[in-house]
Parts: sequence; structure tokens; C-alpha cells
Amino acid sequence: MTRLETILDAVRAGAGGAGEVVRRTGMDLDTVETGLTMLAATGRIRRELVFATACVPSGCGSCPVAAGCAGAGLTNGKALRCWRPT
Amino acid sequence: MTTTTPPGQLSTQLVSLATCHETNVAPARPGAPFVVLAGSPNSGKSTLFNALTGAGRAVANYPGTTVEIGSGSWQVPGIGETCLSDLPGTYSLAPQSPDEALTSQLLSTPGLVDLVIMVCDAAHLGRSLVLTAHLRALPVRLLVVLTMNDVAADRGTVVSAGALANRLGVPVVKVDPRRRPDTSAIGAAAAAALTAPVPRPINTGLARTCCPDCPPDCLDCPARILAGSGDLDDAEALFSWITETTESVTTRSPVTRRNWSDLADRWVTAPVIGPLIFLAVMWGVFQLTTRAAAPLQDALDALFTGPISAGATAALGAVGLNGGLLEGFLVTGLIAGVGMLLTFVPLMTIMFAILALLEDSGYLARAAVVTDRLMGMLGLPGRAFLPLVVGFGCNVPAISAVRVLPDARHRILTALLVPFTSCTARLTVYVMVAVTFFPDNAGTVVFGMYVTSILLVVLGGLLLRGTLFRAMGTDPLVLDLPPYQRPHLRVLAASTWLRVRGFLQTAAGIIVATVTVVWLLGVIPGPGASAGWGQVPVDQSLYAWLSGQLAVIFTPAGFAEWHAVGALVVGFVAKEAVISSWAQTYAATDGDLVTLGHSVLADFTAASGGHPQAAALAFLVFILAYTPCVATIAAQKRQIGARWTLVGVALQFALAWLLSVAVFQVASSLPGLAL
Repeated sequence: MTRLETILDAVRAGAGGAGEVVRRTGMDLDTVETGLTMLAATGRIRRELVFATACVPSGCGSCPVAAGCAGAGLTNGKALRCWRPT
Repeated sequence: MTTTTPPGQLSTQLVSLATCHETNVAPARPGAPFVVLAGSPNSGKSTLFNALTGAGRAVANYPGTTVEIGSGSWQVPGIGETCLSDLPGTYSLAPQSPDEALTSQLLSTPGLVDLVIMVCDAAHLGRSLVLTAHLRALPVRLLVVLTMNDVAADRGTVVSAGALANRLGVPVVKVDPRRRPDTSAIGAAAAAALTAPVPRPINTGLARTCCPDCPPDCLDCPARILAGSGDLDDAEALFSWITETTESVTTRSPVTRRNWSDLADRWVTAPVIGPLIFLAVMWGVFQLTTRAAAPLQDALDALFTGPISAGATAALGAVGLNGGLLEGFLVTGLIAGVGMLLTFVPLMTIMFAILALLEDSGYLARAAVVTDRLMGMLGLPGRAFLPLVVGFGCNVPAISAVRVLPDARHRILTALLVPFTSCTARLTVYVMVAVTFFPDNAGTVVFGMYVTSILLVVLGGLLLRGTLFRAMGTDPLVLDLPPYQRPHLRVLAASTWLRVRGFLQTAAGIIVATVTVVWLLGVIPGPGASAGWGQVPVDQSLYAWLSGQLAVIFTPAGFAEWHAVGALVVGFVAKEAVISSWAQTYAATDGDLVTLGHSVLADFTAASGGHPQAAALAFLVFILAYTPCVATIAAQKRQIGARWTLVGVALQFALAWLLSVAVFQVASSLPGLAL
């Protein structure tokens, strides 16, 4: 099994974060992050915004909670992204 | 230096964009060399852009898209003015979003860009090299700028700029944009790159399976990259090239220090300890909130019930309007109702500030991991945690957020669960009741309500999955956690203010309308009243009569009392209205917050047969679980249709009633809870 396949397996198994993939695979964090980026480039997984802890830097158009945003009072700053198997 | 025509056109386009938006920042003269900053998000690209252009940024949407591009003028020594654009962050040339697609398009179109400055994060070099490798497979001028060297050093890693330059075949400059970057070094490197011929693309692994003898004008590689080749062999080849590159250009300390962010995450996101830490943090939040806000709340209460009410009465008396309906509406309606709600502003401010602190520090992202794992363990759809977490702020955007779920059944299930998340509007009621009935443990009671809320979501989810939503798969994900950081005061202040403003807008809008209706029903005589319009005691009013008719339903829950039931009815409009309606209906006889609390306590004692605390807990559980506000119902109808919305409303009411009855019956049998 190649390293990318190992990382992909960890994602499919529901590892909660890149740190957990590191623990499951024994690879270092940079290798895991690189692998995730590579897998996304091949379409095996996709990276997406899952939780706006604040407004998305790229604007409201790409924010999943934009429609009802007035009540939440979200501010400019960060958005949390995740990687999912496709 | 050779400048091709297309970049000039694009530079002109960006100039015109800036002019259109009247930012008063002309990025560059038309025809100036076109330089772009590329890199992954959070690599220090924008900080570098500001350093190079003197923060003279013109932001505009790229034509035909909603993607924003910042552009400015950059003086390059020996070259003169250039048009510098800060492209949206991207990890590779295989786009996954509209902004990445635009970046990809700009970078891969032959001859469009005169120079690409690739910002590489030294702390995540491998990840940055994915885009770098893609770019090196293209015939473009490239200058690599290494940022985050201090973060990398903290992790025991040092990247050699020279070795990387040799490996990539393009110049590499090390900077730290956060500490006054040496822009002259970048300028000199950019000038050299701009005047040099376009470097020949190199074999970055991808070409091994694409075209081994990749020519400088190769179009196969770009096409293959942009298509997002699904070939895992291609990816593995490029992955190996990146790994080899990373290994050959970095030196690591013999004992690599784990940074404190990674160390913290080992505990904070751990399967067992993580949820316990999360609960402890939230308990601390509510303790701090209720204790710190109490004196401020009392001071505001004294202000509204004292000088402001007296001033309004005196002002009306001065113009001969005292003693009438207008005074009643103003003093016992608006000032008592809205004023009581406004006493919660300090409490909300403190809580929002603490949440903003947790958010900006990066902790809330970890809380999302904990929540997601919990849901996954219980077989609930992992994606559903987004709307559910948002729901703790406000249910309305949370319902809107179910749009991110691709499966219709997931959307329905999540939209049905969102109302069980305890929005901040309910917090005012929790605090009021907790302080009144459990003065020594108010923070713990409020915390308990949030834990109950989570349990309701979990149990409700399991119940629905076991009945209406069987055979629904889970959706694993890997969260991309940002590093912890020191919170920024400006961000905290802005976040807190936006949320407090939302609270004030609710108080100024829908609560004023509700207060008016409650006041109107309170001056209309009910059946058998001893006085007429405007003179009737509130307990003989139409409001009291209508509420009393419904109160019988809540006899088994211990709060069959018209003030409480009336408050629940108006709480259907907005949960904050529970407090304002209590303030109004008790205002005729009671003045301040303490007296109001005593009156509520006395009524609950009478209605519960001597078990006011048990009744209070039942009341709180009912507030948590019953029908959400009208705005949430409207959002539900938009997302999942009228039929499922009605099912949800009925289920919530039935569940709230059953739970409140169960809580009262159990709690009233506990000797510790009897006064």
C-alpha cells in the first residue's frame, strides 16, 4: 500500500483531524498535510468549508451559513476546513 | 525584460476594476508588468503584499465572478512600477472552488503573468510544494519566497533557500513578513527574474508519467494538472518528488521539539479527555458569565426601575399625560419589558467576549472536532455538526446551514434537531430562573441546560435514526485545524459588538412589538373582570385569562400558573420575550429584578404545591425543548418544507411537555430540592 493510499484509508476511516491521521499512519504532519493536498488534487478527497467560526475570507458567496448570518453575528477572520472522501 | 500583450491587458483590467470601486488606489499604470502572489491560504501572502505595496490595496471582484482580487502598485528596483495582485489562496492548480479556479486559470494561461511570486510556508513546506511543483511544470517565471521561517524553527526545522533554489531551478528568498520583511531582497530577485528568460519547466515527478522529456512549451502537463488527474500513480510520483525535495532542503534538530499547539491538541482533541475538557471549559464560561455579570445587571436594573421610570413618569406628568394609558404603556410596558431585557446586555457581552476569545484562539475549532467525533460514534452524520454548532448561537442560520448536506434525509434530520440546540436567546431565561431559584448554583444550572441540550440532540438523533431515518450512512471527514494563536483585541471587540448589536436589534424590534401586544392584552378586561379598559388589574386581564386557560396543561409539570404560561406563549415569537412579558405582568406590583424574582418564586411555589425548584427545572427544560421561535420555523419551512416543519413542531412540543413533566415528577420527589 502506498503512502497516499494509507492516508486515504485513514480519512475514509473517519480520522478526526490531520493530527489523528498522523497518529494512525505514523507519518509526520507535513507529509500527511502534503498527502491530503495531493489526494484533493486527484479528486480522491475534497477540501471544503465545514464550520464558519467566523466569516470566510473569500466572501459571503462561499459561506454555507451566509443566508441566515444576521442572527449569528459572525465576524471577519477564520473558517474551518475539512477533507472528505469523495 | 519582455512584457507580452496579454498581461498588459489584464493589468489594465485590474486598474479599471479598482477605479470602478472608487478605492482611490490606482494599482498601476496600464501595461505595467503583471506580477502575482500565489500560495496557500494563511501562508503570509497578504502580509507580504501589504509590505511590498505599502498596503495600497484595491480590492475588486474579478469580472464575471464573486472572487475578490487585491491589487496594488509595486516599485521594483531597475524595473519601475509593476502591477502586483494578491491571488486567492490555493493549494494546487487542480481547483476545488471558484476562487481557486480563477487562480489556476490565471497561473496556467501561457503568457498572462510576467512573474509569479510563490509564497511557500516553511512550516508546511511539503504542502506548499504541491502548488510550487505544479507551477514548475509550467513555462512561467517563478520567484519563491519562503515565509513562516520562525514557526518552522520553533518546530526544529530549517529550510535552506539555496538548496531549494538548486532543486527548483528558480530563485528563492527567505523573509518573515510579520517582522518587516527585507523587501529590497525580494525586489532585487524579482528584477532579476523579470529580466531573465522564462525558465524551462522541470520534471517534478508528474512529468515522469506524463512526458518524460518535457519540452519548455509543453501543454500536456498543464492540461493534465488542471484536469485534476484521478491517477493515483501520477499523484504518488509527485508526492515522492515533494518528499525528496523536502528531505533534501531541510535540516531538522536531532531532537525535534513538538510545538505546544500539537502538544495541546493531543489532549484537547483526545477521544475521552477532549470532551471532558470541552465540558470544563463551557462550565467555566457560564460560571464566569453569571458571576461577573450580576453586579452590572443589578446596576442596570436599578437604573431602569429607578431614575428612568421615574423620569418618564415625571415627564408625562409635566405635560399632563400621567396616570393614563400612555403612562401605563411607557412605564409598565416598554420600560419594564424592554428595560428588563436590556439588563442582560452585560451578561451577553461577557459571554460573547469569552466565546470570541475561544474562537479567535483556535479552541472552538477543536471543540468542533470533539463534537464531530461524538456524533460519529453515535452514528449520526458527521457533517451535521456544522449546523448544530452554529445553532448554539442562533437557530436561524443553523437551519440555513443544512444546505451543505447533500442528502435530503440528512437535511431533514438535522433541521429537526437544530431547535434542540440552545440558542443564546434562551440564555436570558436560564439566567433569570437560575439566579432566582438556585442563587448559589446559578452557573451550574445554566451549564446543565447546555449539557441537556446536547443530550437532547444526541437522543433525538438516535430516536429519529432508529425510526424515520434508518440506513443512513455516516460521512467521515478530517478537519484542517488552524494553529492556536494569541487572540487579537480588535477581532474580539468586533465579534462581541456584532453579536451584542444583534441582541439589541432583537430587543429594539420584535421585542418592542411583543411588549406592545402583551401590554394591549393586559389592559383589556377578561371575562368577569371588576374594572374596564385600562383600569383592570393585570390578573383580571384578557392576557391573564387566556394564559390561565392554557395553564391547566402544565399542572403535571408544576408550573400551571398564568404568568409562566403566558410567557411561554409569547416566547414563541422570540425567547427573549419570556423575560419581557414577566417584567410587564409583574410590573404593576413589583419594581426591581429582586422583587420580580420573589414574585416568580412565590407563584411557582403555589403552582407546584411547595416544590418551586422542581417546577423551575421543569420550566427550564420546557423552554429548552419546546417549539422554537417563529423565525426558526420560517427557516425550517424554507429548507425542509411545511410537512416536516409541522412534524418537527409537534414533536418538539410533545417532547418538551413529556420531559418537563418527568423532570418535575422526579425532582419534586427528591427531598434536596424542596424548599
